[in-house]
Formats: sequence, C-alpha cells, structure tokens
Amino acid sequence: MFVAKDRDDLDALGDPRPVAIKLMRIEAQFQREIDARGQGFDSTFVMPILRTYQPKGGAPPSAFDGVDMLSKEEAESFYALVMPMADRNLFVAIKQERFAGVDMHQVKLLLSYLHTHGD
Amino acid sequence: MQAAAHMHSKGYIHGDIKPLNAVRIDGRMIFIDLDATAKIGVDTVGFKSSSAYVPPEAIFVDFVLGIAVVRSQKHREQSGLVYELVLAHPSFDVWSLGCVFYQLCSGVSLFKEVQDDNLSSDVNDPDSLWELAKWSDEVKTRKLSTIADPQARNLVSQMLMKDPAQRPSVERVLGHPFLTGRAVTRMVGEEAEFDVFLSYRAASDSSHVERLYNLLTASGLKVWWDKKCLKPGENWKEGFCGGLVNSRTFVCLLSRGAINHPSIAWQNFGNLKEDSRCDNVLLEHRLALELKGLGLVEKVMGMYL
Repeated sequence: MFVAKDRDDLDALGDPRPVAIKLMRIEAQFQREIDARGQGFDSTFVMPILRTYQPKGGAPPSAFDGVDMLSKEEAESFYALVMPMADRNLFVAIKQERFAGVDMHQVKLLLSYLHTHGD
Repeated sequence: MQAAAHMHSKGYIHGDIKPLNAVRIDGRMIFIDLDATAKIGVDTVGFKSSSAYVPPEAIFVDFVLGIAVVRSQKHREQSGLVYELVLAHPSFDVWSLGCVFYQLCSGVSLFKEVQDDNLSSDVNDPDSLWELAKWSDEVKTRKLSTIADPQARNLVSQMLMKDPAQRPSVERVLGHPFLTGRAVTRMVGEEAEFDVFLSYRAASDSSHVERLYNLLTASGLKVWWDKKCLKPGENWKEGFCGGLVNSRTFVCLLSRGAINHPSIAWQNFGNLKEDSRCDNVLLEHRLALELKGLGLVEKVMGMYL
C-alpha cells in the first residue's frame, strides 16, 4: 500500500486529495477486488475504489516490501487500486494507541458504536 | 462488527478479517482487502486467508505426512492431497472477529504469527497450525483467562467455539450484554440457578404442578415454580422470563382439562382458530425453544396428563 496525492481530485482548498494506492501483481486478485465491489456493498462499511489502473508494461520489481518509494515506471508495472486515504488501520491503532487489554470502553466503541456515535 | 453484518446481509463473507484489514476513516472502522471475499454457501474459502485468523475447521492436518495447512483449492490441486474444502459461511468471519476481539480485550494476539499474520506449521510450536486445528477446551480456557472482563470473556468464548454451528451470528454478537450494556440474568456458558422450570395452565393444572414441584424438590432438584419463585411485586413477565433463562430444563405440563377447558376458549383445543389468543404455556414453550437454540436451556420436555 502506498500513499499519494491525487492531482486530478482537489479538496476545498485546491490541494490534491491524499489517496491510498494498492499495487498488485496478480490479475486474478486485482479482479476479485473489483468484482467484490460490484456486490452492492455500502461504502460506509467497505472501502470503495476510486480508480483502477492496468499495468502499462514492464516487469514489476521482484520484491518491494519495505520499499518507501517507487518510480513512475515501476508503479505503472503493477495493477493498481486507488482508494480514499484512511486515518490508520486497526493494527497500527492497537500498537500506537495502546488501548487493547486496558481501555474496555474504547474496545466497545470500536466494536459496536463507532459508526453510529462517531469517534 | 457492523461491516461484517453488512457483508453477510449481502450474502458474502469478508474471508480475511484481521487488524490490518480494518481501517479507520472519518471515525468509522471499515474493511479493506476484499480479494478473499466469498459468496456464502457457494464459494470455498481459504485461498487468501491469513492463517492466524482462520477457524480450526479451515486447517487440514495429516499426521502421517506431517502436513498442516489452510485448506484451499489451490493447495489441493498443487499437492494432490484429497480433503474437503470449507464453504463460505458467516461463522468463518465470526471466528476471525473473535480473534481480533480477543486481541483487543487481552492486549495479545490469540496465536503468535511467524510472518504476515500466518502461523507456523512446526508441530513443536505451541502457536502453530497444529494447535489451532486441535483448539482444545484446555487451550481455550487458558487463553481466555487473560481477559479480565467476564462479559467480554463470555462473548469471545462464544465467538471462538470450535464447532462453527455454535458460533453466534454477528447480529447476536452485537446484541451481547458486553456491547449493549444491558443487564443480564445469565450468559451462555454460565451455570443455571434452577434445574427445572415448570410451565402450566393455572386454571386447570395448579394441583398437578404442585405435586410435581414437591416430588422434584424432594429428589434434590431446584425448581422454578411461579407460586414459590415469583417475588411479591415483581413484574410477572420479567419474573417468568428470568426464571426460564435461569433454568436448565423446561417442563410443560398439560392435562386433559387444560386442553378441553369448558369455559376458557383459548384453552380448549376444539375451539382453536388462527386468531385465538395465545396463552402463557405456548409463549413460554416458544421462549424455551429459542433459549435452547442459544444453548441456555438444555432440554424442553412435555408432560401430558
């Protein structure tokens, strides 16, 4: 997953909106992600896809785990899903916010009330 | 939880629920990574799931060959091994959510993964696929003892039932006292206070049920009978429901007089119509069947005189 700024989608201040880009090597997985969104899932519950990109040619780098940045050519050698930028995932939240096993109120919020009561 | 409930209502499971695949956006937790999504009852699961979050039934083990893997079509084709695949079912996601919930409540993961949320296949590793496949009561009890809150522990215990049929639906998880804050008489897995709940029609069977009560209590059983157990001033509906929830066995007593009552129309089977009034015995019987489905009542018995 990479973070980018979308120059074609500006926010109210005219700044490029931040997006997350999921790069994939395998076409079948890429297609499954797209097909799954065709089942009528509500974007309140499932991350929507803003745009998709097919590879433009060239072989994707053999390994890019831990790579911070890709060149335009490298990035374009992958299948790509562009999605809205999230604050953080639950894994990071558990590691950084340190509520797991400590703050059961926060756990309850995460599990049940968050979408109706707000954060 | 709501995101899983939403996907299940659309006929799909996520298939790879784990902390990395839930992100916070605008204050809500939503799912990402839908490439393991599977249609309930149609697609098989396991091809893309992270083994630290899959349920025991998704693991194939062969002690002779020394193999422990997540069941999948791809592995079956590649290995040439013959084993059953797992059809997509909401209980698969409920286990994964149980693993996440366990982590949130205890501060540690249910199984220690070796890499990328996947478990070791080393038979000597206490956090391996072999241990997950076994998922004994002993291991479960030990792991759940790290959760201090009893209601949270009860909920996680239900979500991590080895038998997928015994895991609650996501809707039922959302209705659990831990999440709703509702007062609760008894949670699934807790001991019942009474052995027997007596249901009967007072107009015809009071003397029969008194005799039954005396016989049962004389034999050492704890019996819920409204005449003895309903407290003065207590809301009778709440009292009856509380008594039933707190009983192991439901006994419905019906005499010939109870179904052929000369003057009470709805207690005379000869007069029953579709719109006949429902009486307490039928309502209690129905509640008992629902509670049996939840694992609170063990037996529903009829006694006909």
